[in-house]
Amino acid sequence: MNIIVIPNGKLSSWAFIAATAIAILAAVVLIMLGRVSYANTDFTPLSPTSGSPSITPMPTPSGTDASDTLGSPPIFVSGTSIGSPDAPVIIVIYSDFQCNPCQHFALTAGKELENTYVETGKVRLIFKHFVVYGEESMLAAQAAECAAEQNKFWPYYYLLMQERTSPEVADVSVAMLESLAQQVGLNMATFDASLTSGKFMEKVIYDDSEGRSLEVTGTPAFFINRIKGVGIKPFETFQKVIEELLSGSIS
Amino acid sequence: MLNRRKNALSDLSRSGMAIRITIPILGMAGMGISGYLTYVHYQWIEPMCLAGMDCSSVLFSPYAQIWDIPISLLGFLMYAVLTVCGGIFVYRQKRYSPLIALGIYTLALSGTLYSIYLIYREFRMQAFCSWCLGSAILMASILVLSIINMSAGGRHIIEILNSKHVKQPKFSAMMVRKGES
Repeated sequence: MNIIVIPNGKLSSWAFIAATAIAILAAVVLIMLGRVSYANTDFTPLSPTSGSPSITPMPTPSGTDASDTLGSPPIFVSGTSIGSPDAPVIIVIYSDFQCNPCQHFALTAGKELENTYVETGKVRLIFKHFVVYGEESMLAAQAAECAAEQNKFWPYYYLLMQERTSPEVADVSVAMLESLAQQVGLNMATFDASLTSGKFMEKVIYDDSEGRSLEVTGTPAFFINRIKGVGIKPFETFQKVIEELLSGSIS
Repeated sequence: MLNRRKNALSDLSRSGMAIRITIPILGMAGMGISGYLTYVHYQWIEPMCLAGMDCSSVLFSPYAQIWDIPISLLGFLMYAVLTVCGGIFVYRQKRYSPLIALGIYTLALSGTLYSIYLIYREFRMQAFCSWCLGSAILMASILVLSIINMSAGGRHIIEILNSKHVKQPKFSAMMVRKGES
């Protein structure tokens, strides 16, 4: 087999075989690096000196909204938080309503987390605002806080994430946010009054500033107890970390 | 006889050059795709995507990066090297460099194998990205062209271009006889 020919002679087929072996090796190394990076760096434990998000204590169960599904345990909802006050694992999510990966998280892993761990009392989710895409994101964040005021943050969050398109399409407007509020069943007079007064702007700015002080570099960002992660993660990645935290193998 | 040789040389040169020109063209197309995907990764924007495909899920999946480096950036660098190597072939025209041909083949093979792995991951995720599939097709095409370039284009062109070295005695003898007549 003389594959390669040069003017002054022929390179042996060994050169071709060696090149093939190098190429296969390079591909295998890339695949292995990808797998190692996938397994090890999805979430980073915070160093002892790192800060962690502030967590407001849940109010007593009497002040919460319980699931009305017969036979299922109650799901405690307070503001932008959902889950048992005694949940051993707390996940703080920094997110922007116009960010595509945030949307992806909300409609995939977020839903699964709620169904699998929040409903069983093992995990409490806390949503915090991290404004990436300017005024429209700020407006959407305030609208979500207006929904939280009426204890309907989570249905509003999922609906908004489902309905929005992308930061390039200026589809977040007061009319759109009001329409979603109606669909969720909010008291529209209260919602409109809160949104137009801008009473939650300070809360949104506080969340955002806190995220920046915690060196959140992108959205969505997660703090699972004291473990930090940024970007889209599949449900299985959360599951792995949560199970390890629950079993005590990591802290 | 001489004319037949010239015609054969001309035909093979044309086909060989077509192959060599196509490699950097495909490389530039690959740079365009991977450059766009790198931009999408760093800007966190929704990528354009063919109907029925889910580019976002693929591009923002954990498999789309190795630690903090998006694989689209690695792809961009790979396509850039392929473009430069292919460009050298075009620039040098009939001077065939086996090492560059071998380099193109090696890069294209590793890129194609990795692309096959990524397509496998897409199957597992049940989400497909048109850009990634397009890039895989480009890389596989470059691989095929690089093999043709080495095994046919390269060998035959060089053999014929250097026929005076390969078959010099007969060739010279013929030239002498023609000159005499």
